Amino acid sequence: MNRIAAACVSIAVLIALTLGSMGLTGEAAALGPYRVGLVVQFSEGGFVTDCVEFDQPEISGCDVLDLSDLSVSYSPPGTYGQAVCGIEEVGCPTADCFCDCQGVDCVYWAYYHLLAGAWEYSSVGCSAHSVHDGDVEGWAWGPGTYGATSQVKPPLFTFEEVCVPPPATPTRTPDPVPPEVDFWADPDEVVAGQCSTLHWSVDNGELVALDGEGVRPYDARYVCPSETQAFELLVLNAAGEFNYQVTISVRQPTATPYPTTTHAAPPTATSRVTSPPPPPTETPTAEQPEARTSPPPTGTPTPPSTPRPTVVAMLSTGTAAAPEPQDAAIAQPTVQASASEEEPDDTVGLDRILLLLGVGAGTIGFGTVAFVATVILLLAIYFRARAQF
Amino acid sequence: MYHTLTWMLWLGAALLPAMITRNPLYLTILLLAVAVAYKTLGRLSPMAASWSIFLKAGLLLAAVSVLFNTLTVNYGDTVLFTLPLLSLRIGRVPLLELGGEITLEAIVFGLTSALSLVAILLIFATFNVLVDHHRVLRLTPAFLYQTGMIASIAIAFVPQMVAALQDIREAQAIRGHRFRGIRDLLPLFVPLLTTGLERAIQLAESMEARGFGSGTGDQTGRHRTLHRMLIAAALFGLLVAAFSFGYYADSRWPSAVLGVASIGLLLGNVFVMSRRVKRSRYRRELWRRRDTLVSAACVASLFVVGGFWLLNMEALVFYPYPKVSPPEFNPLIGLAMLAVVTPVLTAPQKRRSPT
Repeated sequence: MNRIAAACVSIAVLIALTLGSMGLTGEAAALGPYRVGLVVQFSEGGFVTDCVEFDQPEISGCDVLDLSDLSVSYSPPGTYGQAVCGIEEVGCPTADCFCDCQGVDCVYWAYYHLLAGAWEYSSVGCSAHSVHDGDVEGWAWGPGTYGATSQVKPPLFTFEEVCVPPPATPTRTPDPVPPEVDFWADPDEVVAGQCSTLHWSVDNGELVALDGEGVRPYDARYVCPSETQAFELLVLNAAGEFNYQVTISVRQPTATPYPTTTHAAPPTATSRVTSPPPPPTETPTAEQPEARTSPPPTGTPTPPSTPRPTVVAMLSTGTAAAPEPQDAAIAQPTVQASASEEEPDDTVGLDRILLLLGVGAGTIGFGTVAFVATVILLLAIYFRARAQF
Repeated sequence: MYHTLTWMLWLGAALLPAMITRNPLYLTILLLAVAVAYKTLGRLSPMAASWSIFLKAGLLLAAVSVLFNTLTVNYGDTVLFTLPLLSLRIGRVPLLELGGEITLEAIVFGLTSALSLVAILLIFATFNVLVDHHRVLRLTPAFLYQTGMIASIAIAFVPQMVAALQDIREAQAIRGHRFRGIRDLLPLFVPLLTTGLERAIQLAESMEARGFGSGTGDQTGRHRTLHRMLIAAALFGLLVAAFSFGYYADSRWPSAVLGVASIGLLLGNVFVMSRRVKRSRYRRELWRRRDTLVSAACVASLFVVGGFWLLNMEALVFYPYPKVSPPEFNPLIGLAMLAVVTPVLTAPQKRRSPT
């Protein structure tokens, strides 16, 4: 018995020492600026390239995606690592990662590595593949090797083409294109104590920051301002620096109802800033950027051609009668307003039913009540049967 | 107590949800229902002791499952703590990684998997306790009597060996032999081996004496070939149907039709072949009213759970990744699980013998 105990203690100490030493070696990893090129081919012919920097000699393919600006969802890890379910808006939900891979029409996020100037299909998932400095990773929404003949591969880029050398000398880059930005609040006017949601989607932006904090290009944030507050979205890319502002008006509860006479839009309407940004304070140019979700306003000046101009846009249907274009930004609030009108009705109806039932299920949940009732029923059956047999 | 066919339906009604759902609420209900069935009907069975062995094995497997999933899967949003990573690699491909970020989602997934595993084990344990294996084997089609005989012998092998082991152990103990270590096991295994060989030879001789494998001679060679070809065609059709059902997800109707046709062909063939073989029974099982009730409840449960599985799979799915959320509970599915306790409700009450 003592020998067995001693053997167990020895094994435990050995494992602890092994784990401890591995932890120490992990911490002692060398630091350094390493870079990897990333090319992502989306379904609609568009692609994105990114140069990802990291400070470890080796990271996984999934880490590369995580370090990029893209929002990525993964499958749970399998024998050969994790698969990518979705990148940005393209792909499948995590619960059904290969939802478009049904039968012969199989489309998924195929994974490639650049080897000897050509894309090679990865035989393992991104978490099982190690990436080193100078590698190029490719992702394509397509049949991968599944269809054999009609492979969709990412466009071919070398590492040097994706990752510009560190000294930020002017290189041969394509003409700078201003970012395409949608930035709006829903709703843009709230009563004190209520909250609103800031939405933004930025295309062609290298850095996006909300009130000085780095954020993802496509995201939303729940805010509860106590007083009227302006939120600023800073977008940086090769064309320069662009600022967008959205103001959320906060009405005090005692105030008079909606000042409809002074507002151009209904109170529940969202205010939206849509690229292109309004006239900058500097000299405008003739080139006009393309709006992503709304038709470009006519006659709107565009960002300057100077390298890093500061463009400030202030558009809010609730705060000022700004020269807002009559575009999709007007149409959307009406849809959202109607949706937001229906929700409270449903909630109230459900609450009433639950109150009538008198089970307090409003807080516990109907499923929980049913589950507990089923368990009680089972126990009753058990005790009755036990008395009989 | 119940007809063997009723128990087979009970097994199906209990196994289907255990195998297709990971929802901890449904699995808890199922486990409780199976436990109630055992505690009331099964504990008086001569095989009752095997239930606790299954339970212990299930709990051990569950613990391993939870631990393995927790340590090997670092996926999930809710990181509880981080352990040093122990990695076993071949080249660049990691074979096994232990440690790293320990997430709540991995623990929950391990627990639900363990619950499912324990449920399946306990269902079979309860089935073993409640049903006589030999009666189950009698349900095999008549023309497969040889297969039934061999399966019967195979099933009886382990219990016979355990009984022989116990006998030898007692005999050696009477002779003053004490089992203290591995070396003391030799006087146990040598007699066990010789006894086993002797029993096998005796069995073979008795089977040969009874004309086992001589054939019944009730089928002509032409008929036999035809039936074999039809069975092969039905099995091939079933294989094609199963493959195309999963592969061509957009158009599943042809596959379903082919599958049903193949099953029909197979069953029809088995029926025709069984009719040619005459078997007599010494004791027939009775189909009582309570069999009808339990079978109806089990079939209804199979329909409900199977219907949800085919039409509204989301009601059964519980998936903790990437961020765990409370499981949902559909009362209809919960009610369907209660079919497992219907044998308890309809069983005849035990008459207390006057003392």
